[in-house]
Amino acid sequence: MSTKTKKKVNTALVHTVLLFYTVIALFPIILILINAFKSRKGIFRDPLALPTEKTFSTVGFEKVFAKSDFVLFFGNSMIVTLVSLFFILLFGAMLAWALSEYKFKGRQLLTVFMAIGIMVPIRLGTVSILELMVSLDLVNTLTALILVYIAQGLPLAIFILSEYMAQIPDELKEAARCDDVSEYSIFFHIILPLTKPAIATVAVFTMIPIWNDLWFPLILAPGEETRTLTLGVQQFIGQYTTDWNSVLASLSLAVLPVLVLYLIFSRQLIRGLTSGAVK
Amino acid sequence: MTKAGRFPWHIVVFVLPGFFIYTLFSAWPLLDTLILSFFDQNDTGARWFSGLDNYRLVLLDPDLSAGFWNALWNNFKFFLVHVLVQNPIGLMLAALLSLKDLRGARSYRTLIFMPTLLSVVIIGFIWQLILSPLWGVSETLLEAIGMANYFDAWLGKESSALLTLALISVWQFVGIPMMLIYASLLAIPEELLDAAYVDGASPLRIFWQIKLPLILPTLGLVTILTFIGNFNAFDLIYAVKGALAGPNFSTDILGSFFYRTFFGFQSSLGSPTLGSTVASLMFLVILAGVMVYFWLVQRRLHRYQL
Amino acid sequence: MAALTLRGVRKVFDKTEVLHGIDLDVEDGEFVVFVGPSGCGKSTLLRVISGLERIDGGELLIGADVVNDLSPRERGIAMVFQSYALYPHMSVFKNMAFGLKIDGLTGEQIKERIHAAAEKLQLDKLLDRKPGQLSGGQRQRVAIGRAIVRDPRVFLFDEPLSNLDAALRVQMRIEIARLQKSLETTTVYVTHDQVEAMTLADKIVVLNEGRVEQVGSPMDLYHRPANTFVAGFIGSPAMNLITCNVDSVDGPTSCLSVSDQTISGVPQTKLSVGHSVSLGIRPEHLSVSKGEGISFKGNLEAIERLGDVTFLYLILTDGSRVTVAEQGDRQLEIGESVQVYAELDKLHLFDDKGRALRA
Repeated sequence: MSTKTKKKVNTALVHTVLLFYTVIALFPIILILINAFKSRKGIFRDPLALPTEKTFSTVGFEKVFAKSDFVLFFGNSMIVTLVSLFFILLFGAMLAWALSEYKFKGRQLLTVFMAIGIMVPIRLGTVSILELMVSLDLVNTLTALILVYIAQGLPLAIFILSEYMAQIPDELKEAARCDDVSEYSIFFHIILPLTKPAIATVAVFTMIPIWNDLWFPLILAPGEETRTLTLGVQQFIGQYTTDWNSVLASLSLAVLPVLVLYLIFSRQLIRGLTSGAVK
Repeated sequence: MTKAGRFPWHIVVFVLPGFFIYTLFSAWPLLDTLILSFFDQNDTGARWFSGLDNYRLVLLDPDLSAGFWNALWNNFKFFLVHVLVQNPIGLMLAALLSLKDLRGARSYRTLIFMPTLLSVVIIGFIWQLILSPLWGVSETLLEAIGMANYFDAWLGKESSALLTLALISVWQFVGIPMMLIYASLLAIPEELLDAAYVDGASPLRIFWQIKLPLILPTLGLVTILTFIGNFNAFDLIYAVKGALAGPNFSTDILGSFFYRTFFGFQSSLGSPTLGSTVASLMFLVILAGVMVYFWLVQRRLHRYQL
Repeated sequence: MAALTLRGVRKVFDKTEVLHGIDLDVEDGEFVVFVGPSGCGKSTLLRVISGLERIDGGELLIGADVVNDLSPRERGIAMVFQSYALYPHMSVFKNMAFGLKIDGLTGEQIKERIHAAAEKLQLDKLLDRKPGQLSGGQRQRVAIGRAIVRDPRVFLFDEPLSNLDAALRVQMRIEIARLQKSLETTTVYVTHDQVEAMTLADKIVVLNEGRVEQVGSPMDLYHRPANTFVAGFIGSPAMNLITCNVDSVDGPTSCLSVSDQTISGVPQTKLSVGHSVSLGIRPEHLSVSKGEGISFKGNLEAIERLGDVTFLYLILTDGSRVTVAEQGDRQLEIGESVQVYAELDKLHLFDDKGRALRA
């Protein structure tokens, strides 16, 4: 075989493998999405077919909306995720700035202290967290979740942000200091805007685990009013295991928002993942 | 950088909010859990120091310890499947994606990474449906490739449930090693690969003898991240199998064992102190893994300046 | 060892042609240097010759064989990269052995070759080291060693000295020249540094925007640049190019005018009155000392004294600038009007398209 044909065969082989794995990765998700729009008969008779005029049905979605408070759950998840995210970014950036910029006593110790949170999963402290929330009367509130998620997200945020902030040229801050600009202004008006790319990366990294978490909603806020989407779907499916229409519809409802967001932000996310964020 | 004599309040302002929340809701609870593991309590909630009694109970007691050892052993199997399946697949995908001049590399990685973003709970349910003999999707698919006889209710069998769950988890999270390895492959200077090509090395040889040795540190990192994730896993087991991690505890891992010990299940009551003990043991396992990584693995895997 | 022939070689990146049909003959054992500004295509051309880039048109021959579709190894080339591209996880010995093993040599043969090369390059004591433990100059020598153990038909160098400091660069330059003479291997060397080009080359190829501007020996290019591009590129400081009008042609000489001055007695026969030409004079060929030939004057705008040489920067009334490199130190005042002289045989003339006009 000549070099040229060999190359062509190799390229074809590479694409075959990648395509095959892409199908494996997407097939289950697509299967759920197409069957969510079918009647019960359609689901069972020919699971692999797209919904046709005959089998099309949205009965699952109707049931889900009738029997559970999906909109509420979705709203809860949004609130918890966005509020946690806001504070993780704000407090994380502030701490990262302090750690990377100012030389103060105990800085090294504080850095190590915060780094522990990257390696040790916060879940291991659940017993104590629950008791703490009971004593603060925060059980079954979104606040409890938000507080825990902030604590959970801070270490990684600080790690990534302080690495990034350390690269900001000294001249920028020195120039501002010569003009007698306050340290707060330097941070909010010079440093934060410059840190935007790293903040975006951190945002994506922290948002996903919060949105998807089951553990803390299950333990700290299992009440009907404060259920997050993930917990809501879990409980709903637990109740209606045999109602395939509802199960498929609720799964689709949980998948779709993430899918849409991902397709919009995938470029940013992957850039964050493949850039120097993880060293 | 502070003006002489004046107390640097701004540092306090920058540090305090984050430090306060982190300490109160993460660091302190972790420490408190470790402390609590040395205490016992009665029905009224009164607590007293009991030394290593809890550990003795969890590790050695003829009735209780079986559950812990079973969960620990299962967890190791769970981890092993990830190391042996997830990481090699991730490596292979990353190696293919990083090939020069590959068309559509961006679309491939975007799509393959997608499952990683979804909730473990959702993924668990999706696979439960797909593998369900009631629906028969898997059977149909296996039939298409002439392997219908191999189909079984894998999730329901004691012998295969854990492996099946581990593979579901692999399916979901393969995107993470793929991305990390992909990034480190991209960091290898192009001229180095050119040099190997000029030296006459085939793509396979370049992969095994040039690329792979250079990304070993990343493989080490991926492994320890997988380790921490696996020994902390819970959601998938709970979503698919419930707190009882059936059939007959065959899918019980430390996360689900911790949950049951803490909250109780069926007839047995939960115990915060015993729960703390299990959490502390999980902490020790993770700590041991991290130490092995730092002292043995990372020290030997030299990170070459590229 | 073999000759290298390029016939109409083209390269296209994303529909943009970056090499527009390069023709070139390199004789067996010749040292050829590609030189040109960044982006001129010299590195691309080298990579096309190496086989790292596909050829999109034309033919490439090594010896008598068309090698268009052959891999670098099948072509029998070895290459030294700008970043050295040493395998960081392998010792110096293994770096050099990597290609030899692929070639299927026995352990004994490999050892023999490496030790011979190591001796030549003073690497004997470094064979067990990793690249990370070597200095820049040592790495450079390993990279060269890795190329010569392959005993290639053609050596390719891609700006190999650009990562070294100035002193080391001179030393390595001499070493490369010596090595090439002793090995007598056909060599193609890419650089943007004209001093490297002038000192190393048997033959220089000046490239610009994917085309060959001129091919010739270093002294050829210096004394007889084919066009204003080569004239400006070779030599430092660059040749002065003064745009003039042809006032009159009188037998073998002509008068040129530049703004308010007339420069008379320029030897040239091909000019016609009214045309615009560029008069090229190298700074080192201009002098304030009165001499034979032509002269003109300008205002002294700046002066730089380097001890051995003094640079005078003149501005003519029409705004064109002229640099004079005067031997020794000169006591002149800024703002002074200065008359400068040049010998007739040091003048270059170019037509309005920049092509050299020769008598």
